[in-house]
Amino acid sequence: MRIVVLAANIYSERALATLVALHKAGFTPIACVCLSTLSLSTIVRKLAQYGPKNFVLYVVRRLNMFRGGRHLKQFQDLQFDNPYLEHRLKYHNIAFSDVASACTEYNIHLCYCKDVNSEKVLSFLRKFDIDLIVYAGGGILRNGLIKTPKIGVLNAHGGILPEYRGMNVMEWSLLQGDQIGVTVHFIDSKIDTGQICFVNKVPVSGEDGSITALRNRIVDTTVDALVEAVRMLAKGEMRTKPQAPEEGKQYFTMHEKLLELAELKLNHIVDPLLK
Amino acid sequence: MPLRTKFQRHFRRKIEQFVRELNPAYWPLGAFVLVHDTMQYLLHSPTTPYSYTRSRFPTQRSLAIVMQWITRAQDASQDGGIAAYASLYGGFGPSYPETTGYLIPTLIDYGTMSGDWSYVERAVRAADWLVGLQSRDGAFPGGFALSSDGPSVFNTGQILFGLLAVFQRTGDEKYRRAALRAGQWLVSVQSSDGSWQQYTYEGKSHVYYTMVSWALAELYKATEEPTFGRAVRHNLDWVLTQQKPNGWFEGYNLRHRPIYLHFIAYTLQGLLEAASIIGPTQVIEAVQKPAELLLRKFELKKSLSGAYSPEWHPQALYMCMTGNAQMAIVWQRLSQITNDLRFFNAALKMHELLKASLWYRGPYILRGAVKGSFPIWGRYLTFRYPNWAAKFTADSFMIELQLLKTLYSKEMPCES
Repeated sequence: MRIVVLAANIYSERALATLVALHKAGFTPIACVCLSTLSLSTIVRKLAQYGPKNFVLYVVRRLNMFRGGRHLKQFQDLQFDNPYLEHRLKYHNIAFSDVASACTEYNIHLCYCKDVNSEKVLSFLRKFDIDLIVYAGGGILRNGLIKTPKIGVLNAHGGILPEYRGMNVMEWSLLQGDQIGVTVHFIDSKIDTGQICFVNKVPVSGEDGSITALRNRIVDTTVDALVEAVRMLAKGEMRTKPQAPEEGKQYFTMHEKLLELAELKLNHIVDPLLK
Repeated sequence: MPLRTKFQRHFRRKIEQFVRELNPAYWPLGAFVLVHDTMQYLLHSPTTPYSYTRSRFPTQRSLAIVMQWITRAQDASQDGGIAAYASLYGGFGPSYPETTGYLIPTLIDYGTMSGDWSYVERAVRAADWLVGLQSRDGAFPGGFALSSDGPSVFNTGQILFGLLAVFQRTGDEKYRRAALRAGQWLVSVQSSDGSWQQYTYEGKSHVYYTMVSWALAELYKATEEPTFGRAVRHNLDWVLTQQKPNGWFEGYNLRHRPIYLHFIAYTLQGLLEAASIIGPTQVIEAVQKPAELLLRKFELKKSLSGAYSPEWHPQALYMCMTGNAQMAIVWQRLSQITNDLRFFNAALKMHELLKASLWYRGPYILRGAVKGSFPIWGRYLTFRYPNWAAKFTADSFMIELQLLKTLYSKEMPCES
């Protein structure tokens, strides 16, 4: 199967873990499309996402990584935000820390772009006659890109569909006392409304001490779920289920006051588990 | 004509007017605000999904300075009423009976919440001024204080809120009697189709008079007089007939004026509150549709337009801050009624937008004032800070504090 992976940037831990997991499962992607890191919109987005102080820390850490070379000999030097993904890469003896290095290592074609929907990307993909795109970040996809692969664009959504569409869905599920999980689905022209492949529920465990920890574990779960979906597609075992737009609600970025409440709710679930 | 060209022409006209009409004493302040707002507007780039998700100012602090501005607006008028606005043309304006009426519950609620009883005393002083304006038939006049406008349905309805709130706080019968007379007059001039056409703006029926229905519903709750309940139901039924499948309400009937978000939010707020007292659930569903549509627009664009067309297309490049605050109220009330926290989430973000537009320091007419439009030269109350924008902002902040308290008490029953 000819697979292409979409990555949010070359430092995307999720995209790196997905590339590695697909390679280890015997489905090495043929190409990877990656958004350029140094664009004004990315800087503004990161600044708003992290706040000025954490943004500076983020930049310093990335610069350190660059200074240390892309191929780091010591695993201890890998600096990941997500300890689950870091653990996964150490387990596989991976000694590189960004998407570009992984592409060099596995002979994957790499395309940098400012917009994954651009003509540059579409013509790059047409060269490979691809079967499947695996989404590991890269913004909103337009119809041109969605219709390029023969099978479709596969995404692992960090919430349970069709009930929880949109952003911060894990936090919204927690806040509303619902189960959390990961849904693998095909991307269509609307937000999280494509055909559902399967849902993996993720029970809260004692190690989920904070929203960030739980989110990291969910991201780790999405990597396994994507590999599982690719395996099912390769074997012809995939049965998808359509979803109607009115079946679920679209959620938006959660305000920090509600995030605090969700964290409190998580603590109420985790505390008895620790005891 | 493209919206941007229209806006540029409007901007030039307003600047010329500003230069022509400005009181020389307000030149430095006016020029400073103009430059400040222009810069803020140009830099306002809500391009990221993370806009307004963080609290830069505690809500209590913002609420306190808005309430302090309202007290300054009352002190400026000296008759007990509250000045309609602070203007960059020349300071505080005259007292405004309509908005003084609905500012009374805000003063009482804040006084009760903060434990500062001077706010309740202010509310009583404002109510005493209003009682003196009531005509024999129970109606209240339209327009500003000392204007010679005739009786007004909308003003009478809004003043009814104040009279009822003061009666409930003090138990003084004179306010109850005044409220009853006002309510009876409103019922007597209601049209046979359920709308109000007499003594209205331009002599036409308007859907945003649901705010009058809400006042009558409050009177019905206080007196249990069925006539008032019937009048409310009749009006709500008429308003529902005006709703289009896309959620828009026909019948704003405002000639030569855009449909400001302020009027849209009035309609929704009046419907929602009246229905939550009187009871028909289909009204709540009718409010939910446009409220959800506006929520989506706000979440995706990080701002709401100052005016909309019947197809929900933005009609302004400026924001109507009063409408913004009212929409935050509508979303929070819907969140309470439907338990859908997405509405509360949007309101919290809107509060961050409102808080960011306030002056926390500076001259006394601006400190805590909420502008009519952002930027200040926008068409809705150009260069003015209306008292009703402050009222709805304060109300919305108080609902936030109350809602958060409820949510936390659910999570921490022992601590609460």
